[in-house]
Amino acid sequence: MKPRSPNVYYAMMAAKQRLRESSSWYPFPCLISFFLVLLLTAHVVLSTNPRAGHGASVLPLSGEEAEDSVIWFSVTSEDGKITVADNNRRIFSWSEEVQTIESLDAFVLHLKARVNEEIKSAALSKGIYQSQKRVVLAVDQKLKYRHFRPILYALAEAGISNYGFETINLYDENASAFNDNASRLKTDNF
Amino acid sequence: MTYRWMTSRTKKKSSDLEWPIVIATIGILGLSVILGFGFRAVTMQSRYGVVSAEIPVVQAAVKDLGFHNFEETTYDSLKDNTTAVLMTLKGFYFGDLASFSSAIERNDNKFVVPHVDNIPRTGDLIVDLEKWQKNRTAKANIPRDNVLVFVPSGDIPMPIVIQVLAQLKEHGNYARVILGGGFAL
Repeated sequence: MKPRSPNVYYAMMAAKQRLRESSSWYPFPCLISFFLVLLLTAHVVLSTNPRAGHGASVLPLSGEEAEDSVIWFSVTSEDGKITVADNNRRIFSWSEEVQTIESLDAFVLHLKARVNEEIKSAALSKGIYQSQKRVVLAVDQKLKYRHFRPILYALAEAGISNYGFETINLYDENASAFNDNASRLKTDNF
Repeated sequence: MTYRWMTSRTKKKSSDLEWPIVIATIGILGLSVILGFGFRAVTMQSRYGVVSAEIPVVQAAVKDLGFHNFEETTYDSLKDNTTAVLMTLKGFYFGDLASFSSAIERNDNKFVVPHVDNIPRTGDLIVDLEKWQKNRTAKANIPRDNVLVFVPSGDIPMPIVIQVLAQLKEHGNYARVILGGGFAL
């Protein structure tokens, strides 16, 4: 069937001719859309759950059910360095053998800034949630208390009094059995 | 234009195309990244809990310039007779705060619950703490408080610190557990 308008006819013929010839540019539209999907997937996964992409393996222990805290940190150790990353992907790192609180100045400043942000948002919304005041720390199981102690001092330095350790909550029927096993953990197993 | 002609032309066109190996490699890598994200999202634990702890604050009078009748109340205070528990690789040591600070030289004010085969006996610690507190109330009229200062030594692994903290709060009926920085022993 021949189109009535000669312009449409010529356009169709041109398209037909173009489709008959092999082209070298065909992968690029696919690649662009592919990378856009990749970016979108990464963004969705990482922003849905701040725990994605963090290496801290937290203790499986039935703790109190908690709302997601606004200020969340993962604490891990690698190559003799303690690495602390927050839910906004800000990373702080210092040596395991840190002796002075001055070495954690950047972290303390960041903590103060986060607390100020929460105070401002609480003032603007005329209300504050319980979880908004609490700093939640996902501490890796390989760490020892001496690795955590500088963070405790940094929290105190930043004026934070309410904090907690994140645990993986198990289902009730398994929780008691697991906790029985967990209570048998030996101090020299780590 | 017959179908046979069209088919042969398409075959010829397809055979002319060179599929760049780089594109294929990038595609496979990208797909594996997407699948990795997907598997991570699917296998990630969804139920999280919190074992809470506190840092004591110094009481300070806040000036109420706006006359909003704002008043900050004190819920609990740390005193000389606040219960303190020290945890070392050998065992738990408990007593009141004074027994680990101003009266540290005395040897009749501290009690020990040793680990057995390096296993902390938190249950026994809680039972002994309760007995000690009752005895203290009966003898010295010191009321049982809900605050406990817990000081692990630096070599204790964090999972054990968190577990002991959780058990002291849950089974020891201490509403506030304060993790201490350290004692000079």
